Amino acid sequence: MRYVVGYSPTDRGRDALNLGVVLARSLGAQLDVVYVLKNENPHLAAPRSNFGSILREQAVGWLEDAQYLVPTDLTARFHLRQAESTAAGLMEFAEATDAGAIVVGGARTGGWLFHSIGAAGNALLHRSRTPVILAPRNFASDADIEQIDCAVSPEIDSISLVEEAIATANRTGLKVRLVSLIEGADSAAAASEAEAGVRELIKQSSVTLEKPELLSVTVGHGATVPDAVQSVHWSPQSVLMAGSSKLSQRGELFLSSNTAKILTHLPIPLVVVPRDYSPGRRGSSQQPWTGSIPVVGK
Amino acid sequence: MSQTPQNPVPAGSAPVTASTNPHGAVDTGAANKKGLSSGKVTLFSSMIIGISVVAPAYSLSGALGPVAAEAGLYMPAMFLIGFIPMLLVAIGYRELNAAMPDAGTTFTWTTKAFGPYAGWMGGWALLVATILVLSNLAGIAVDFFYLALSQVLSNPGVADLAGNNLINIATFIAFMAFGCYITYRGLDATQKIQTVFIIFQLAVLAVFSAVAFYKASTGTGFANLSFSLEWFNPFGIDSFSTLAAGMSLVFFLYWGWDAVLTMNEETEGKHTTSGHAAVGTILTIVVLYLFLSVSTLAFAGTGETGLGLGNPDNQENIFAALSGPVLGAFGILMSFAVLVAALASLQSTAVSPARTLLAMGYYKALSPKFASLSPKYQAPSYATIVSCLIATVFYVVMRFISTSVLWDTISALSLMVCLYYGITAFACVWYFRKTSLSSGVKALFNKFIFPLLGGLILVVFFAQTFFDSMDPAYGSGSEIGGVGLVFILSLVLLVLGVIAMIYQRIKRPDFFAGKVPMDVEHMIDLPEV
Repeated sequence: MRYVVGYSPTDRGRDALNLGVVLARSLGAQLDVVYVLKNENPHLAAPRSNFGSILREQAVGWLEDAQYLVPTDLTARFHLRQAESTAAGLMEFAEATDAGAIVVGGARTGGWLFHSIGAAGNALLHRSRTPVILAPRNFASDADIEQIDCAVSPEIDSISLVEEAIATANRTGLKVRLVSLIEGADSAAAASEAEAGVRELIKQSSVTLEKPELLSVTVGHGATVPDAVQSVHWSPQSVLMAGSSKLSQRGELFLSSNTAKILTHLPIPLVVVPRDYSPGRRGSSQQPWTGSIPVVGK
Repeated sequence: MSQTPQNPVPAGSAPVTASTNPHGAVDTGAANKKGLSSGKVTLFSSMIIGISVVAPAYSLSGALGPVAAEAGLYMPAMFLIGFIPMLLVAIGYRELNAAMPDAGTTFTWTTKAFGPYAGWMGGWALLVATILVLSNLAGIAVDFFYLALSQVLSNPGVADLAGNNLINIATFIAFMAFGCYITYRGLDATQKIQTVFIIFQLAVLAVFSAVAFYKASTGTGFANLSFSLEWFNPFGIDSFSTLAAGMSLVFFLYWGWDAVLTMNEETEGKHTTSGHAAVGTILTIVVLYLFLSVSTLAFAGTGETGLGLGNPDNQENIFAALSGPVLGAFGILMSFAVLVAALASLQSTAVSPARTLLAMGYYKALSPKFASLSPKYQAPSYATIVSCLIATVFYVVMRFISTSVLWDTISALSLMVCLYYGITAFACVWYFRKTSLSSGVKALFNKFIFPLLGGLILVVFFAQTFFDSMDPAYGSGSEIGGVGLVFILSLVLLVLGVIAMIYQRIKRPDFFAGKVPMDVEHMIDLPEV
């Protein structure tokens, strides 16, 4: 299992690489650290020159420096790619290497938010066929990931994501927590209704949970989605998995408006998976982003 | 930390040069492929780029007046012959670019031909010329911005805002920041916008000429001279000083079209496209300039009063004075044409000093900071910001020294263009001296005779004009202590270059000792020509 890390020699690029290292170590993956050279603009009024070579030389230097950020007990390769855009280069490479996920950092701006979406992240989040993992700003943890959170709604639309969550628990043996975020009046009734809805989805799941103690359900509520996010305790050793919008093309990823609201206040990494990312279709049966930890049971 | 590479290098990757890395060599296999650029440049779009670099509306608005002041009735002759040395040098420039396609252009070529000191000064002359033109472009844009605004609002008072130093400088900084930002991000106006701008510019200039000509021939112009073939006779020009001064200005007017010759040749028909594009561009521009100079001359004459081209009040900004009388209410179109030309050229011109500074930093002739590229935009970051800052400081200082800042800047920068093109031409002659004399007629002309002639003409014109500019009457007539401002300006800029070079010589002796390899060839990764 391989992760593609979209690197650049900036704070945000280092966020992505740090997260890649933590994920690779926790989930047993290898890293492909990629910097993408954009195609030169042919309409630039500059003489043809070795500018591209100077740029490439500097980019190789950036990747060489980045090697010291990856412990040598991990397997990592460093690649310089050439593409129309950073996002296109990362997607092409991920598909060519059958990667489990693409890890990217945020935007340079948006300082007070945990997550911000840069140009490359934005393109990936609306087009990729590979799960995309966003590193929160200044991500510097080196603790292993011990829990997968999964954002679900208590409606039948979420069934494939619930099945994916159960399969993940079965396969990895990691704790999995289904998180439902309720916006609106802060009523206990709405919360317990939501929890019941999620538990009903677990029952309907075509994948059977093998170790019930691994799975838990949490409901967060607040006047707004960000408030609901803040009402939940997020472990620094977890990541949040979210599905794609119904607007997405089959098998592609499209950031939903709800997830977009969640990520501004989410202190942990966010994994967005493509539509139909569920066991038996695409997703975990073929190439789970949670790594090559062997399937438990089944 | 273990220093052993852990991973086998994937097949097809670049030579292993970095085996000491903890994770092995960086795989550059996918980035080595040919075809760096995306999309194709057609003949038409090459011409559009060439014309946009020349920015005819901008160049004419600044230089037509000074040329007329020098050459009088012989202005069309100046335009006709001024193109020749440019062509001769451009041929040599193209040969050098084909042999050494280096981002440092004149700096690198002169260093390889004549050594580090000459190379450094050649690079300096290029930097001075391109940074001055940035300053001038934004300055012209400021004038025409307020002129256009006053025409839109039908309030002549608005145009006078450009005369207020504070407002002028603030607006200048806004335009400069715009140009700097576009270059910093490695952007370029999209092809469609650029095409629209150029066609608009050419159309307005053509209409202006036609109307001016019509009015002159029907006696409704200002001077209403009747056309004479004598205007095209270069031998009618009274003195060599006049010829040299006029030529150096005309040279500025044509400056930039050679960009077409050296653009990435990933065009449809390989070789031929850039050649055809160059011919197409230069023909368009020469015809336009001749038509325009003849019609303006017929309309306004060379008198020193009223609308006459010799009137010192109109020199700085000839279109501002003439567009109203010629085009009437449509004069506003001319203001927009110049504004658009200046802004479009601002961003395409800023690439040039940025890349030269990048190369000088890269070869350690300047601080390595200049070689730093933005990881996000993959364009020279530090070099771009520094060149825009210097252009701004220069403009602000000049604004306080001389009221005719734009005029004097153009005269000084024309001198610098002559100098660095001259140096480049000689670099071509010297660099190829061993092969050009013995590899056939084509090489003999393209690498030796043409550039030698072009270089000689330019250097002679440079020397003559430089000498003449000591006269306080030269240019706008600004002076310091009885010496012409253009001379002082050029001298100060050159002396500054020498001081900066000595400082770098002490700080970074390696480049000057020839210890920095400049193997341009080993890193060439270009589409096959």
